[in-house]
Parts: sequence; C-alpha cells; structure tokens
Amino acid sequence: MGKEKGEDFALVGGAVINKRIRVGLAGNPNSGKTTLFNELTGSHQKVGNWPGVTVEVKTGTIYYEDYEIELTDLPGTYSISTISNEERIARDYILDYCPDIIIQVVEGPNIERNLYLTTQLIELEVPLILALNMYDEVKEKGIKIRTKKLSALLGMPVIPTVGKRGKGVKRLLEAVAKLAGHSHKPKKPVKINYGHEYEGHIDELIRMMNHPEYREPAYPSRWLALGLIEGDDYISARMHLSDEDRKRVMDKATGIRNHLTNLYHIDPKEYIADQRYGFVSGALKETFKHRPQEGLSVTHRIDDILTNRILGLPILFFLMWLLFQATFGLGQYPVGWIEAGIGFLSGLVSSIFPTGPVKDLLVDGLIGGVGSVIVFLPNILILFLGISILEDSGYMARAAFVTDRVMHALGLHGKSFVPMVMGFGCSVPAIMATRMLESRRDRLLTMLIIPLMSCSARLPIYILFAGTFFPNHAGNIIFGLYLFGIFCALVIGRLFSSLFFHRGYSPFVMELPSYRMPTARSIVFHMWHRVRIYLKKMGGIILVGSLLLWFLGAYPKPPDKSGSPMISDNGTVVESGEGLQKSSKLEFAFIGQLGRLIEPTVQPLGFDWKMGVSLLSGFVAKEVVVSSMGVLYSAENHQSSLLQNALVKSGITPLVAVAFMVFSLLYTPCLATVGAIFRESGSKKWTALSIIYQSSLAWLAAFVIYQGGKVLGLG
Amino acid sequence: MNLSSNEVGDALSKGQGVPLSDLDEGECGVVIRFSTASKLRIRLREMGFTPETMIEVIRSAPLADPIEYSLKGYFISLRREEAKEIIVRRIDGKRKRRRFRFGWRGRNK
Repeated sequence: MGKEKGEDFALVGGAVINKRIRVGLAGNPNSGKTTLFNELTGSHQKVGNWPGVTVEVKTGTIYYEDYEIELTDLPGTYSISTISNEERIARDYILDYCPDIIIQVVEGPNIERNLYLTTQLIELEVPLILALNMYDEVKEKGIKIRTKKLSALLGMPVIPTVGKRGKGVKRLLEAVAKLAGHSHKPKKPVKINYGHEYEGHIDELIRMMNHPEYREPAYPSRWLALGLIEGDDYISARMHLSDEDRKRVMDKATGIRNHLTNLYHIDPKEYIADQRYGFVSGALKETFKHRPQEGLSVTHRIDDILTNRILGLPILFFLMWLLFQATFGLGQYPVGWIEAGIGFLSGLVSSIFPTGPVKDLLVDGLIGGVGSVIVFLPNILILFLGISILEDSGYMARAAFVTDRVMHALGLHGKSFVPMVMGFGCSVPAIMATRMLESRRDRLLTMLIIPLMSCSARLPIYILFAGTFFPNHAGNIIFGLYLFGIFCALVIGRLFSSLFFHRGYSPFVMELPSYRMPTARSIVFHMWHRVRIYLKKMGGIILVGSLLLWFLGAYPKPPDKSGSPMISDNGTVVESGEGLQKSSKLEFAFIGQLGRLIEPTVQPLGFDWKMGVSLLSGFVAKEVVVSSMGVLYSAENHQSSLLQNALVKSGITPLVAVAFMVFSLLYTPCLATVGAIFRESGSKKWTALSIIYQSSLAWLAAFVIYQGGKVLGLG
Repeated sequence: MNLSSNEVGDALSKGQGVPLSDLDEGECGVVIRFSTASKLRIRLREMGFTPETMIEVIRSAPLADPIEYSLKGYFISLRREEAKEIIVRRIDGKRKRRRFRFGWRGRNK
C-alpha cells in the first residue's frame, strides 16, 4: 500500500497543493477519535463517551504545508477480525479504500488493550502513526510511557496528544506530512513472531501465493497468510488469485489450520491473539511504568454509587425523571418569552396589513403554524443538553450495565438501552445507533421499539396539552407518558421477540469507559447542531405544511349566504358569532371535507375532525401536529392568540387530552423515521410492520382510555 | 473490611481452576483457559482475556447480572453466563482495598 495517488496540482487559497493523501483515523471505541478529528479538521460533529457513537464514517479536509489531507473518522474497532456492524465499516475502509496513512488513536491510560489493534495494523503494512491520546490522564494516573522507545519498538511515530485541548495536533500533522514524504522508502516493518512452527507455515503459504506467475497481491502476503491460518472469511475474496489457485491455497490453509489446532490444542485464532498480546506486553515492559496511586480511581468511586446494588436503578430512574422535569420546568420560562414575542408579532402584523387573504396567510398560516412549534425550542434544547451530558460523561454505558438484566429478560439487550434513550431525542439517530448491536435480531427488535420512546418532536404536543389541561401536574403527566412509552416498548419487545425471532444469543461484552467531564465545547456543539436541525425543519417542512394546511382551510370559500362576510377584525366583534362563522368556513373548505372523511375513525377516541387532521399531518413530522392545530384552531378563533385558550374553548376535556397525547405517543413513526428504519433494516416487511403495529396500538390505547374513562365517569 | 487472604485462598480450591463467575467482588483471578463451549473465546481473547491475565471482580449490577471486571487497566462487563466460560485460578491477598459501600455488597461469603 502507500501507493502514489497521482500528482494532482491544485490551487487552494493561493497555496500550491501538490499532493493529496488519504488518512484514516482508527482506534478502539472511546479512545477519543472523534474529538481529535474535530480538532484536526476544525469541523465539529457528534462526540460521545459511549463505545460506538461514530455510527457513520465522517470525512474532513485539512490543508497542511503542501498537502491536502482527506481525513476519515472511522467507527471504533477493537480488532480487525472480530466483527460488529460498525467494526466492519472500519475494516472495509482500511482494506478496500487503501488509505495512505492510518493514525491510530490510542487511549493513553488503557494502552495495552489498544495496542492489540496496532499489531493487526502493523501486519497490514499501512504507514502508521500512533496518537497517544488523553496524555494528561496518563500523567495524572501515575503512568509513565517512554514514547521514544515505544516508537522505536513499534516502528512508527508515537505522538502524545490531548484531544479535548487540541494538544499535539500540530505534531500529528507534521508526522503525517513527514511520513507522506517518504511513502516510497521501503522500511523493514516490525514483525510479530508467532514461533517456529507457525512461522514455517506462514512462509509456506506466502511462497504459494507469491508464485512468480501470479499477479502481485494487493495486500501484504504475510497478512494474507496469517488471515488464512486464522480462518477469516474475508480473506479469500481479497487474494487476487484465479479460482483454481485460490482453492489450492485455501485447501492448504485448512490443512495447516487443522494441523496447528491438533498440535497446540488451541484454535489458531486464539493462539495468534495470545501472541499479539505477548508482543504488546513485551513492548510495554520496557516503556510503560504504572505506579498505582493510593485509593480508588474517581471512576471507581462514582460507580460505587451510580451502579450500586440498591441505588443503581433508583438513580437511573431519578436521572431520567430529572431530565424531563428540567425539560418542562426550566424550559417554561424561555417558552413564555418566545410566546410573548410571537403574540406581539402577530398583533403587529394584524395591525399593519389590511384585512384580506395576505393577512390571513401571515397571521393564521405562518405565525399560527410555525410560531406554535418554535416556542418549544428551549424545551428541546434542554432535553438534548441532558442527553449529551449523559452520553459524553460515560453514564450511558452504566445505564446499559444496570438495565441489561431486565432488558435481557425481555428478550432485548442491555446495549439496546442506549439507542432507546437516544430515541428520547430523535428516533432517526437512535435507529442508526442500533448498529452498535452485534446481532441482527437485536437490531431489528430495537429498531421496531425505538419509535415508542417518545421523541422530542412529540414533546410540543405534550407540553401543549398537559400544560393546558393539567397546568399543575404537567411535569408528572409528561413523565408518565414517557414511562408509558417505555412500558409499551418493553411489552412489544417481549412480544415480538417471541413472535418473530427465535431466541438468539448475543453476548454482553461491553467496555465501561472512564467517566470524563463533558467539555463545554462538545456540549455547545451538540446543542447548536440540534438547534440547526430544528430551525431547518421550521423553515422547511413545518413552514410548507402550515401554509398548505392554511390554504386547505381557507379555500374554497363558502358561498356568500349570510350577508356580510367581511366583518372587520378590529376586536369589537362578538366572539362567539365570529368563531361560529370561521368554523363553518373551515368545514366547508378542503380541510373540512378531509376531516369529515377521517372523522369516523377518530370519533370513538373522542377526537374531533380537527384533531384527526392534525394527527394525519403529523406523519410528515410530529411537530406538525401542533403547528396544524395552530392553524386550524386559530382560524376558528381569532381573538385568542394563544392556542391553549382555543383548545379549552373548543370543548376538549382532560380525558380527551390524555387520549390524544397517548395516541400521539404511539402512532406511526414520522416519515424520516420510517425512512431510517427502511434503510437500516433493508426490509419492506419490517418497515411496514412498524407503521401498522404502532398505528393499531395507538388507536387501541386511545380507545381504551377514552371509552374506559367515560365509563368511569372521568369524561 | 479485612477479609484475610488466607480465608479466601485456603478455603476455596487453591490452584485449581474455577469459573470466573464464581469469584466474589473484590477477588482476583488469573485466566487459565476458556471452557470449550464458549463462543466468545476469540472475542474475549482479543479484549485481553489471554492466559495469565489478572482479572479483578469489581462489582455486579444491581440485579446481580452482568458483572464488571477489571483487566489490563480497563473495565469491562460480562454476563454471568459468559464469565462462567472463563476458567481462572483464584489469587489471594488482593483484598487490600477498602471500598465505599452501600447495602450488602460488603457481606463476606
């Protein structure tokens, strides 16, 4: 490898770029790759202290000296040969994309296990640089690493870095440039010795593959030979031999494998892993000194409380409760300010524009629709703030640890818990995060139940309804809805796991990373990222939806029958008369016709046609439910700028409100989520199941609540 | 809590292999081998469970499963049934640390 990628000359910012190089950032999960990637590229993206946050491969470009460096942040990998879905992405990048250089990010304090991957990369003979990350922690923990000596032993530059402070980044780039400069100098790579017997067989296979008649192999033959002896299935396709020769080599390798197994009474794969660790400990013996400090590490002490036998689960529960209380309680103040601002704007526009369609469009369509959703921005920010603190600090892994027993009993996996919590933010990234689950069965199951975890887009609906109908208990009602969602997810998970999947076994081998203080930078970035997505949605789908809905509600106009439809809107008109008229206008318009069409299906749930239409529009995005209500109800009642008053006046009872919130919680995932499920599952069947079961569940639950409540005299 | 090393070491099969899952919190063991049934042998090998590796039992989760272990300077959790497949030699005298405790974690068996 390390081939010349063609001399491209280009002018960037006045500097001559005479070389493009591709650099991959590899490393164990949780080694700080993404933080370092951000520091290197200056771009920012999601960083989390949970093994497996990088679910997609991200690329950034750096200009350094006369190099244009294409840097790729790979998903965390413990090994090239054992495979989870994410590890496969990293492996395929390294094997098929042939990067010029790989920077392996190593979690400094945890160097021994991290160097296992290094041994595999060494055998791939890609030019390597070791970024000894979290070097500050290394020192704090009383560890001494002789980097120069280590560099000599491993045959690669070793550069101490502190990703979160950007330390060592410059030296890393210098090393990249230096290495790229001599990519053609053949350098004798460091060799891991597997002992006499193994080495003999490796040579034997190499000789077979390097027969002069064959094409030059695309991969180092020693690496191929080792892979064959290990019995890795992805090797044979990469052997660039004719079918006949390949079969010959494979047969030979099988023979060798059996021979070695009988000889050592151990699977060659295990043997080779042991030898690699042997090499690592040999290298560390001379370069690594750890003077254990008095007492326990901070992480250990925190975990004594957070994963305590008695307190562990209550603390988890309390943290979740706190998150939702904060979301509602703290969020309520800025929400109030934004509401006031929107009310003012609405009044201003009303007074500027003359009565007519333009004014209606602006006040009812635009401000009524988008305004009713944008007020929830603070709530959503707080929710994401909480989730990112949980992720960055390392608590998520503990949550998986604490809940695995329950999840396992329900046919799920402890690791499913993390995508599920992410689902409180947004189902789409949560569904993508299921890639961290190793078995397809667990992935599908988790994907199917994630939409039951109430996402932030549903929050506006709850806040609106709970705040309106249960002003004193809104926080608890909302928390209850979240719990109900979790409850449904677990029941459905259990049900589906026994209905559709036979009991596959997937292990719970999970690293518990050290707690790390989330950096303000990363948190701010998380939130900014969310705000951007939210505002984009406002400007896009919600704006269009609101305007469309307004149009459908405003046209066609009813025939002029009552004499004077042009009542001036100066606030002196009798409210009920005005409301009645608007209402009949709506019913006559397209929206009313549509509403009548779906009314029979929602009537048993106690919903009127406007609620039905709002829910229908929510398929596009759940926030649209509220913006639709903003349009539909404000059209009916001009006098109240606040949607809340309009809802109370429209005769919705608290019982109906509960049924409506539950329905919104459970019914079909939004369009983006359906898309994500389809992409990730690759199956129409599961995607369809997801839509159908959730809609049926929602209808059933709302029906039971409404009709049951009526029987009990609550309605 | 000063559980003397001898208590543990002598009373319980010294030198013989025991499943890792049999170790109590705070105890240590050295990996001897994997039971043949283990599907995870390779994965665990790669995560550092190689022969002669010292493993410390840190704690079990609130519902007794999974269990947190420490090896090669990091922490990992395994389910009880997975830990059962790792055969270790019990090491005594490693209970030097006093831990912050709530509940019945400290009860000696």
